[in-house]
Amino acid sequence: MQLLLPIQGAAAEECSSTADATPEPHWDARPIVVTDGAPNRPRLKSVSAAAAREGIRAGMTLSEARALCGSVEVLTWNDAAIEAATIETSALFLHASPQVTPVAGTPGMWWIGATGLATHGASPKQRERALVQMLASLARSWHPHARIALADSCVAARAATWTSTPRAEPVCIVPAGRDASFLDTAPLALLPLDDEMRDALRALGIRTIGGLADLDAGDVEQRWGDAGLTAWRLAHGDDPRRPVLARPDAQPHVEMELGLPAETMEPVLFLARPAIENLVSQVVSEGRAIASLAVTLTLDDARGALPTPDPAARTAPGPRQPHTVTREIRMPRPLARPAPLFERCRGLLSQWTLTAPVIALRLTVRITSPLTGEQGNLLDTSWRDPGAADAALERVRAELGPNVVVKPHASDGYTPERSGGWREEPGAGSDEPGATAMTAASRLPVHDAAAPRSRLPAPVLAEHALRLLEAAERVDVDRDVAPRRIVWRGRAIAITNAIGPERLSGDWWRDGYSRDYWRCESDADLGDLMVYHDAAGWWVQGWYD
Amino acid sequence: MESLRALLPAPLPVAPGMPTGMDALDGALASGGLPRGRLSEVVGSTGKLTLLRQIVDAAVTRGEWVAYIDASRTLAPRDWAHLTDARGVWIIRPPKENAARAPWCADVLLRSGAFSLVVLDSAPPISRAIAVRLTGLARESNAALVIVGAASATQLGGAVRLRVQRRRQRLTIAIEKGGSVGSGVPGRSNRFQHVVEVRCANGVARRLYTHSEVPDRRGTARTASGRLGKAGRRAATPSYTGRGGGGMLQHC
Repeated sequence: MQLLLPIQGAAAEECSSTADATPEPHWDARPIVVTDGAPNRPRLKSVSAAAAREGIRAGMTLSEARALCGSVEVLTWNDAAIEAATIETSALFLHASPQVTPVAGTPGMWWIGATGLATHGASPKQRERALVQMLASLARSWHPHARIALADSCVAARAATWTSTPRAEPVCIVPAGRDASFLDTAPLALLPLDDEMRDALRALGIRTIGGLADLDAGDVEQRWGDAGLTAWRLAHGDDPRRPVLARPDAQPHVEMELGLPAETMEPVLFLARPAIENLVSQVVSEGRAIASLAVTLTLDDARGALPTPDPAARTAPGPRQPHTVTREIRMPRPLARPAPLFERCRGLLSQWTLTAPVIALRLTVRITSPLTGEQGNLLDTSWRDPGAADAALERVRAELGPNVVVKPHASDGYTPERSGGWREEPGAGSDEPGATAMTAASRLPVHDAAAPRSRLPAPVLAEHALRLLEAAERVDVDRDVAPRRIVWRGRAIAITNAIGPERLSGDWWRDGYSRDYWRCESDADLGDLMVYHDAAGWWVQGWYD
Repeated sequence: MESLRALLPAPLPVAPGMPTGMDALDGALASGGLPRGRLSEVVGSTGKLTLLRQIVDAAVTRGEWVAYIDASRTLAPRDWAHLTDARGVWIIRPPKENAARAPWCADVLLRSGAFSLVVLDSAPPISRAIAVRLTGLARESNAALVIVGAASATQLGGAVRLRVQRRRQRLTIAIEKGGSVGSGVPGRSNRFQHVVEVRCANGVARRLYTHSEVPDRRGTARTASGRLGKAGRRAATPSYTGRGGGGMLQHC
């Protein structure tokens, strides 16, 4: 669990400006304002809590502030002093955690990492509590009412600081995995948004972060673009910011240019295989598996658009310069083998309609995950790779369309066509134990020798299996009482024995069908035909095979 | 002769096959079941699907992963509904216009190496070259590949060839290739065809309408000869009047 901890002190700027001047009483208890130092009509950049209680707000002019409080103390913004105070306080927090990041542009707020602080004999909750108490004691030496919050993401932690009451309970801990639900009722003002989007959401009557999260991601992206999508992700607690001072390592990637612009995917696929092998070797050498892979194609529009069956793509006013298109493959479970990764990559590329020749390919590992035991068991010869199965089935789906990979299910109906149906297997997503946290685990079963086997009824050979036509086919029947000869698909079939009729009738208030079913045995190689007769004539619905 | 035989390498051991769930058939096959890593052909007029369902059920019960390609889209879901909650079985039903891509599906599934049994059912006739290719993939993944076709299907060179025919209560499985009876030499095809008969127990007739409490309100059942059936006025009860049936309820 990634725990983040922002510490916010009201009017933090004054700390650096006044800490050296007057230690007692605390600067936040005095009406102090900090101006931007403009020679004409200086405006307030920050105010202390005591000044705020007088009605003074940042953005006012100094004259307006003095009109509200005549005894207000005026200081000038001093970047150097603020920087020095920030560094001093950051050093203080390093006693509690090695990951301390002053928030850029927001003096007085820090992200402090709370992971990797293992303490022997302590539960995670005890560790959290100990860390928070240590930080609280450190922060109080700087500000008596510092607010502290713990959460999985920065956005939730920042919002949580405003739900805590500095005097009574300065600490707020958001339970692990509950960021989204915590943000659900938080006011929208706690989410970093641009003014235009904030105004638009207000006009739509959306006041809480949960309201934004409930919007459709596609609609948000269409209206506000990437900024809107970023805000939407933040509203779900999906915040990529992490409290690290060190710059994170670059994502493993492989990039290559094609010798000649490719108008088909074959050359790209040819290059993708060694590229994936390279990536897998990089990632596996660090003991990790690939959970998300981004495929970026550089298209050279200057060479002219390719003919495409998609009219929208044909008429779209595309850029005339080379540009990149990125699509991402999210694995149902992290993979550390090139073959299934390549299959998924091939499934993606085979469905990719090129609008211009490809001149470069880039594969980037977006998300990795520690290698788990599910990656393979060399000692178990019957072990099957779930990732490989999922990749293969995904490719079949991508190639042949939906409703191809299915499972049967029985339904409540007497007629053969209503007695069962096919249900598509979902592409991914499962509540299977052991699923990785970053992506939904596949519903593919994990082979476990100790797990109980599927409970199937004892095999009954006598139960002849039926082949059912998707739509009954009309036939010509010669009969006396029972069918004696059937002409089906241009072939005359002599019936040696007919069993029936079995009469089925539907509910009169629904469809009211009425059928007489016959099972017709013949010496032909078709098996026993299932034939029925209704008001419209004779039909073959299937045969027993 | 003995000294010459001693110089020759010992024959490769026969890999244990995939049990079919029928002891008689397993015992008659050289590898004790469908050979893994090889191609098995199931042909015949009737009974193929009944046999295949038994093999799939046995594999799923053992926890092995099965991919069943229903190229003709004629599987009846009710007959396979017991696999709804079973783990490790997938049925692939290519669209009608893409029925010819069923071998491609088998190619992809075998290449993944994730399935123990891949069944290609009622696909359009495939060439020997495609069969060889699929067999190679099955060998690499140690999977049993089963191709089901009509009686007139061309021989694909499979390690096992089963000809199935159902005759009322009997399912007759003729092992045309890959049997182990006769000489008793495992792994060697016998030139004498071995036939396994699986009896079908008598039971209730297979009826579409099985609700016992709702009587049919529209008359009586008649046999093929026009006489009233033994079931009297229970029209929904089919009666068997064929050759040798003797009025016994036929389990079909």
